[in-house]
Amino acid sequence: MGSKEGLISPNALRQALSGLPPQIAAELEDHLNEAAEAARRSGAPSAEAEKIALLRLGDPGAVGKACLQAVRSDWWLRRGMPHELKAVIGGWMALGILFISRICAAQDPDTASIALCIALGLGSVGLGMALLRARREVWRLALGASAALTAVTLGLLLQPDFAPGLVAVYALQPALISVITIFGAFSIGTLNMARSRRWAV
Amino acid sequence: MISVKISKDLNAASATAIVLGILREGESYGYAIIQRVRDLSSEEVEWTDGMLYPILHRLEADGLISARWGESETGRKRKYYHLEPAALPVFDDTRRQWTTINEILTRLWDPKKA
Repeated sequence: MGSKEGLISPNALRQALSGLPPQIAAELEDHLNEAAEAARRSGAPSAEAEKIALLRLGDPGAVGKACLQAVRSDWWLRRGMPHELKAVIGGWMALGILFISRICAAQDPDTASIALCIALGLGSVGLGMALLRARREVWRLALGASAALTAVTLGLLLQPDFAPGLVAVYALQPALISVITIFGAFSIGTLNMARSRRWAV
Repeated sequence: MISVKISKDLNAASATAIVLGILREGESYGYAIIQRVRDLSSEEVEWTDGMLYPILHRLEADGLISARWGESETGRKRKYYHLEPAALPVFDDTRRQWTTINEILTRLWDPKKA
């Protein structure tokens, strides 16, 4: 991050803002430069103005952390979670539980099927839980994971040769594949819409 | 004006109302908001600069304010905040609450004005 026309030295900025998300760092960088310029106008020498600005802001790491906390903590309890997002989260969690539970009902499933079911189950439940905490920093990850999970699921389900036991475990039907496809598309669409609706991004 | 140091608790309780009130005047950014608070209070209210940003981010997350990235006069990236329509009822409610508290305390401490 460079300071354009700024009074704060790049080294001091790097040190103060290291580890912060880029957008928060950029906002605080502007603030520090503005505060330093104001101190300079009041007669403080450049080095002193830099110190004053940094002192008035406090610990930038703590400020950044507080900003992230303010955004993440229970945002959906405060604002109410939209129904579409509830459906996506509930759906992924249900899918995860289904993947895991089906393995218990199967008779002599092969190792690949067991591994696949557990991986997809944990992945789906994990994605559902990640979505519960989703805010702007997570949405790309959630969107990507949702798309990848759907693609992997469908790709594997459509190749019975990969895990022969899978067909028996899931009693694969075109209807099931269609449902997963539609749900995957719905999830991606919902998460994408969240960008403009400002409830999950 | 007699110099009064506003307690940390009172600062925290009033900060949201003050930020919403300032943004109701028009779009602004972090440093300018802090300066506006100092001007309004004749520098009696001294916010630490860092306390403002979590408030702005929370209000943004709550959908009460929105932000856009622009440029400062010197070409730096700057985040500007403005009020969303959803904030107006919240602002009105907050104003009523603070007015009520103010009236209660005024009656209590200065009965002639009651």
